[in-house]
Amino acid sequence: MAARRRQLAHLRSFTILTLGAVIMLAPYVVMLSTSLKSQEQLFAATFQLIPSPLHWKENFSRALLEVPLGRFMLNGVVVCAGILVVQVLTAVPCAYVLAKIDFRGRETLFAIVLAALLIPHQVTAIPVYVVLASGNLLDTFLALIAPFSTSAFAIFLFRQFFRGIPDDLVNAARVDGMSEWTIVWRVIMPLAYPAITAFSIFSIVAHWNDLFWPMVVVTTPEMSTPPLGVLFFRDQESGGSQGALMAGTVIITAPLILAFLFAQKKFIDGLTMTGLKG
Amino acid sequence: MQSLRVDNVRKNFGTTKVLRGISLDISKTEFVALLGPSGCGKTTLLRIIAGLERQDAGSVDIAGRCVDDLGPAERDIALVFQSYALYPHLTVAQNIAVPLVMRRLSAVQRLPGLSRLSGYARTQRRDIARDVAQIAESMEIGHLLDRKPGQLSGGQKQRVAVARALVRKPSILLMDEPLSNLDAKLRVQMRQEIVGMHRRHGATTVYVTHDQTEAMTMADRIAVILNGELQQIGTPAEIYKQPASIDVAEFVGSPKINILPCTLNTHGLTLLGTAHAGTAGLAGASAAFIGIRPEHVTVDVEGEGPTVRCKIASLEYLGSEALIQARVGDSGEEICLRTDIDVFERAKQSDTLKVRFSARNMLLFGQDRRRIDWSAAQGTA
Repeated sequence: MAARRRQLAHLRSFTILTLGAVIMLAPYVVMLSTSLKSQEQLFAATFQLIPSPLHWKENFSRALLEVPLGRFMLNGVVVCAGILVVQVLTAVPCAYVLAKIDFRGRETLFAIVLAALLIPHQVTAIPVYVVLASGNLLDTFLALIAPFSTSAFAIFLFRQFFRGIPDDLVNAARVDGMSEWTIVWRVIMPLAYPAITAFSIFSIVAHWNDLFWPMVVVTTPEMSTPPLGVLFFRDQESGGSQGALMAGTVIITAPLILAFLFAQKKFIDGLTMTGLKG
Repeated sequence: MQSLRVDNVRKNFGTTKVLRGISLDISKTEFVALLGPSGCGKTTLLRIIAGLERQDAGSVDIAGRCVDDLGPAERDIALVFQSYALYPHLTVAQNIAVPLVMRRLSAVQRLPGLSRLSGYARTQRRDIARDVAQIAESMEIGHLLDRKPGQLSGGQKQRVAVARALVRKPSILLMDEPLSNLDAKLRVQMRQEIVGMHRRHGATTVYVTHDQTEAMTMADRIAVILNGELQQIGTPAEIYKQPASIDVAEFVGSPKINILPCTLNTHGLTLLGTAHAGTAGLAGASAAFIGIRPEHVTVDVEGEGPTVRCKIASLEYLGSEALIQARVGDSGEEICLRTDIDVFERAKQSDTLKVRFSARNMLLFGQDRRRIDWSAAQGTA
């Protein structure tokens, strides 16, 4: 009886989870499926998940050849890496000061950082755009990276993490002759590795997938990031080739998905840790 | 020669007075324990000496130099933390090397791989490695140099922490309850090792502890701190035999000293409502309290000192000796006796006991709870 009930409970949770997974995955599956179809198959009366014959060759070769997808991806890597490195370099010292150094007004400063978390970057887009435009910096990597050179979220996340590092360790470093800078780079940074990993995931995913900011400051395909590049593609073809468009999106989402598959455990650990600490 | 001088140091946290003007003089190679219950300000004092905390008033001199405006690194001190505070991402050898690397190499020379390019950095690195190996050998952790702190036991971490503190031969070694995280057996062993190490290296040592056994067994002198005030500083024997006040007498010694209210004046001693005429040796002294340690309450028939009859309240068998708690008369005052096993066996048979307070060992305290120097009192008689 009890065993039966347990089975039933299992079945119920399994059904709910499956349903959730299907809903979450459906768009992605449709994207994959579309990337394998020709224009005719796409508008066929019946929906085929796996079309026959497969048209992946023309779709993917068009995606790769007609627009410089490689270039977009390279831009994406440069921008994401640039943003991440600068964010970590600025947020770690800020978080260290907020977590470990006692001074008047520290709590106020921290409150301001928290308040900054509430402001979406769309709000500041226009002033930032004006500054970049007047500096003749539009359509450069700098325009893509500079606005994200620090992150309130990173400061918050790192501060919470650093508070867990014992004060004695910092004091020991001071007695041993380290300056505050040296403490940040030689003691805090190596210990902050889990927090930095967790933050990297957020930062890379957000900026790799970001469409808004590249759309504001980039006008040429040469400086496009992957999502914007795919958009160029759609403009070129005026929606005439969904198959190739979807092939493009499959290619640009592939790095994140592959990275997730390889680093699944780290990824989940990172998110769980932030959940606990945040 | 004077190594450390603390002059009237005060510290408040908000409205709480943590240190109320403490002055200390410690000479070179001396081992001084700061003893007090938790929250008495002893750790704060240590942190002020180390430069991790700034005093509100007063000054600190190290080796004849005022260090009030210097940071911890410039004070030529080393500190062993209660939590050891080893760098978890560095090996034991790297941990011990940190104070040397930070002092002997500049920021540029510390860059990884540079020792391959610069001859100077290479020689320095070699010297550091030699010094680290030497101190590790003397602390018997030579075989652990490649391990990370996470792989060490508590006692091993402790040794690494001490090695890191001693490696650059500081003029003062500060220790903040370094044994409190160890189990009882290891604590006894490390106690002896730290004393041995102090004898070998001869570093002036200030050792914070709340454990009177540690202070008594290790220190040359003990500074008893209660409520942010230095109550007394002296050798362990002085602290035990001639405590400055009732508070010190009660804090040092286990089980606690018996303190009984009394009237002692030219007419004689009245204790617990009973007059003890002709109490030899006490003539001429006056006091409001007497203090008598449990081992000086005897059941001897012969001897000098007042006797009282008391009711046995509880008996504790400790193996080599025993403790008896007894209630005196109707007053409700409890006294504690430390006796040998024979007395204990006899006491088990009865419920009352006649005890004698050994007059020679009685401590006298005035109304202000300060100890009255009895021999001086005798002298005036």
